[in-house]
Amino acid sequence: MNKKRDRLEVIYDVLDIVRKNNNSIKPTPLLRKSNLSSQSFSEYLKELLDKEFLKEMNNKKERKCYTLTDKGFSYLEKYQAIIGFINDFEL
Amino acid sequence: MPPQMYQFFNPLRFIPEIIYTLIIFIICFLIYFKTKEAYNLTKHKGIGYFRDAFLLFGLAYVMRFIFEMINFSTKLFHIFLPRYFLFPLSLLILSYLSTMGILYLVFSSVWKNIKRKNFVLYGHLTAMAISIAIFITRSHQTLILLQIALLIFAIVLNFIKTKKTKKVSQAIILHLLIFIFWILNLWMISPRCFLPRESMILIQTISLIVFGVIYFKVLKWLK
Repeated sequence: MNKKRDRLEVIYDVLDIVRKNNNSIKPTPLLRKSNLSSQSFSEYLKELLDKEFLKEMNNKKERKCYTLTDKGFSYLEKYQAIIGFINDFEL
Repeated sequence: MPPQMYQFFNPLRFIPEIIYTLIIFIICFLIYFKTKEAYNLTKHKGIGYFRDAFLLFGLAYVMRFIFEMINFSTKLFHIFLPRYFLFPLSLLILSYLSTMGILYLVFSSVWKNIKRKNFVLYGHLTAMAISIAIFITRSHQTLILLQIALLIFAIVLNFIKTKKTKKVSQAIILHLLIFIFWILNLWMISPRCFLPRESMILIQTISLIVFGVIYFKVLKWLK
């Protein structure tokens, strides 16, 4: 059985899905791929938009999609180091 | 230098003390700033408490230096403000900063295990109560005794935490060393301290090594 993902890991997974999808993904596939309940997904999405890790845009077909911001890329880049730091100091 | 000038400041004590305080202050602030980005990106509570603890310890060491100068320079500070007012005031600030530093470092490692919501508020209230008690009693020794009680509290909390994981981590050992060396540093500026100068230098050197090890451990992850 998989252990419950913690908050930072969920954020990393959601941002990584967007990055791997050529930095543009619609809400429904993002919800499906993130493996979260719709309520949790809404909460995380709101948090990521509020913290400016993701931004909402319209694609060529005028459909709503999400892309990573510079802050989102920075989180993905620094995630492993931050997790290493948290584990090393048992924070 | 004429003997009366030593009342203003004793260079044999003042110069090593200012260098020591400055190094500790710089290390604490470097830890605080190196962890800024990680905290801003994650808003992780443990990182928040950890960096606040080092900010408070940096300020507590500066306050310790100021307190020591007020305590030992009988005339210098009397020029600006009366010593009977400065002494308890510096002791009040020193008590609050150091107690909060100790508590924040404890919180950084046990925050996940604390079920009470307002534990940070209780921490501030505890630090305030201790500081006011020290301000009223004007007793440097009482502060040392109360902080030893906090150290025992920290050891018990970490013991409960490690009982589940069955291993004592290097991080917890470093935290406890910071507490122990802080209390020794506090005792060293007490008029009742009977340690020879060489032992004080040894304690200060080990304190610097502990802070240095923590800084390099932070730097290993957050360059």
